[in-house]
Amino acid sequence: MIEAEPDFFRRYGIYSGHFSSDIMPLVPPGASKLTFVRHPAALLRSTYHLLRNFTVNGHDANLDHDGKFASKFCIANTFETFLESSDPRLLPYTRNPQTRILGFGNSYDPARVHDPALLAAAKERLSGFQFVGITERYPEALRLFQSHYLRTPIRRFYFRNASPGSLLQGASAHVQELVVEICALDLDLYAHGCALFDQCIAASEGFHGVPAAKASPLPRSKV
Amino acid sequence: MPVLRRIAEKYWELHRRYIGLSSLQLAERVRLPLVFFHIPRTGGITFHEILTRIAAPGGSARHLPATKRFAI
Repeated sequence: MIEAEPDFFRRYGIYSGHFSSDIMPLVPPGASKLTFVRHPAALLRSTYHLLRNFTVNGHDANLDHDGKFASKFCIANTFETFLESSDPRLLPYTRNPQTRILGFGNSYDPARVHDPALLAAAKERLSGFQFVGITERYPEALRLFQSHYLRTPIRRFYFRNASPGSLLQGASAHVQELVVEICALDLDLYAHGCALFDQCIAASEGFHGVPAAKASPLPRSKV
Repeated sequence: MPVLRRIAEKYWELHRRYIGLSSLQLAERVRLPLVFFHIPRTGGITFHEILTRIAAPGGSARHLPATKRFAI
């Protein structure tokens, strides 16, 4: 595809989507790779609510067979049960999803979801990114992005994350234990992402002079 | 390699259909494209919308649906 269209990467300045590391060999050298990582406990809770809402809001027709099962499971069960379940149809959602996507792409290999080699690969890839944002530190992440990439600062944006930090608050001790057990690689990857983020801020000239963008509530027409 | 190629073709086919962001407001030093790897449920939709605005003020672009990620 890329060979057939050698000018593909000259056509646009920005590419965005649910790419995984599978695509990495096709990204031209020198391109800026950006991503966000999120605390696994918050990401899992967000996934749980997303799956529930697919059916609640009547959008489950967009899901594949396993996705429909996962959605119905989340409606019928608690968040804790969702995490505890070892049903193979749920594991892609609950076992180290961030490490999996960065480590070996979208292909799902149940035998490797806790493989330390996967974590090493994901960390190496993350270290090669020019920008790693932290969902829990969104305003800071935007300022960092602006300081590196934009001519003019972003003044306002619509914040689609309903609860970037609060999903971490109030998590029971049992949930915290479960997350450590089932997403140990993601926790390690998240800590690595936070370290990269802090390094990037420390190395950024002018970061502290960049004004913070203000989050606006989503207009009704967009909800 | 054929598997990787198929995956790549699928990605770019989806990409071409949904994402086409010309870049207008990037800093001068950005000569090569930005590639945003959106890991689902990390707040990437907000960031995608910001990128969309940067690329084409007032415009919009459709985002690759999350449900596609296991279908590829």
